[in-house]
Formats: sequence, C-alpha cells, structure tokens
Amino acid sequence: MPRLEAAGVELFYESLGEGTPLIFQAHDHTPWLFFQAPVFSQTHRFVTFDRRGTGRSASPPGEWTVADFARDLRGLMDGLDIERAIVGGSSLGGIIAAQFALDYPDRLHAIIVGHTTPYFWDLAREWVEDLLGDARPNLGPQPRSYAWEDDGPPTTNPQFAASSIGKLMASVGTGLGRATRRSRRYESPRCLSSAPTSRRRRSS
Amino acid sequence: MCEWQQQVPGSELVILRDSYHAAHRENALAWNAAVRSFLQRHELG
Repeated sequence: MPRLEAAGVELFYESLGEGTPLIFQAHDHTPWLFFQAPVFSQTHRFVTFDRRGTGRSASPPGEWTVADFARDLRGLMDGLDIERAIVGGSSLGGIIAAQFALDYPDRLHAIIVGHTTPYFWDLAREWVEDLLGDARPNLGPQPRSYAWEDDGPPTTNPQFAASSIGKLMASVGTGLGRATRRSRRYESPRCLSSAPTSRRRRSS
Repeated sequence: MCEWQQQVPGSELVILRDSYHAAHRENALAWNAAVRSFLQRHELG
C-alpha cells in the first residue's frame, strides 16, 4: 500500500519514475496525476501525496499550521529515503513549498510555486472564513482584491470546468474540506512577514 | 507574486494567460513547459 508514517502522520502517496525527486502537492494528490505525472515521471522520480486531512491520508486532531504541513512533507521524504527534492505546490501547496524552503533548505534542489500568496490580507482571511462554512471550498470565487468588489474572480476557468477533462477531473478529486477547516492558523513565511499588503499599497 | 519573486534571489516569475487558480491543469501544456524549462536551465531536468 502506498502509505507511510511521516513524522507521526499517515500519508497516502504515489511515486512514479526514477531520477531527481520531484514532489508536487496541492490538497489531495489527484490533480497532478492527469497532466504532470505522465510527463515528469519520464525524467524524474515523480511524487505526489494526499496532504493530511485530504484523500486517504490521516486527519490528526487539533489545529494545523503551515509548519505542520511542511514537517509532513519532510517526513514523507524521510520515509521515501529522499535526501533532496524539487518541491512544487499550487495554492496552499505553494505556501507550504515556501515554508519548506525556510524550514528545511538543505532538503531542496528548488521550489516551484504556483498561484499562491506569501501572506493573507484581510479580504482573503474573510474568504477563508466563508470557505470554512461552505461544504465545497474548492469551487466558487477567489478572494476579492478590493472591498468594493461584489465578488472575486472564478476559482476555475469556466471553459475548462465545462470541458470533458474538466468534468473528469472534478469527478475524482478527493477534496480539501477537512484540511481547510483545520488550517485556521495561516502564517506568513518569516522572511516575508514585513512585505507590504495590498491594502497598504492601495493607501500609499 | 511580483513582490514575492523580487525577494527571492535566482527566482523566476512566469505568468500564464487564460489561467485561473489551477494553471497546472487548466493550461497544463504551458505550465509543464515553463517548469521543464526552469529545471533544465538549472540542470535539474
């Protein structure tokens, strides 16, 4: 069974191919299996996994921090005997990749960060709170950029969502609900904690 | 993202048009090409 104990948390993972380890993560593992696993497993050891609270991985009690997610990733690498890897992530996975780079720089070849943010501004925090009360946190609008906006842009390209492959991908996702509900304490990466927020930028 | 990228030495920023929150699946060919290009230029591909 493709599971291991990563620093005390059972994680479900997939490992394909051989070569320099390349780990992609964003919520559950399934999205990466469609377009990245077949491609990058030809040249790398491609690894992806269900983050804690998603898919078939464990859901430990209590509130989780981004540092906990990064520690899980390190534990996954330990369990797979991976000393160093290219670590990529999208959305919250990008935040985790950045946190991993801060906490475990000696375990990295490089990081790849896709569509994410190093910090949350007030409107994004409100957005997360809204998601926590929604059973479908991966659908719907993204955070607003300005308080006067009625809504944010769509999370997913509507044309892609309506396509056959979009519908197929939506049918197999294992969700991020538990992870989102538990991950109340988002922190900004330490070295970026003084970065200007969008609100400050607007007022200057 | 621009502010973030400017604070990370050696980093690169790629903007993919017609992509939303999940570019790696909505625009997978361009996303994969950008990643592979980055890896190859850094002798990781």
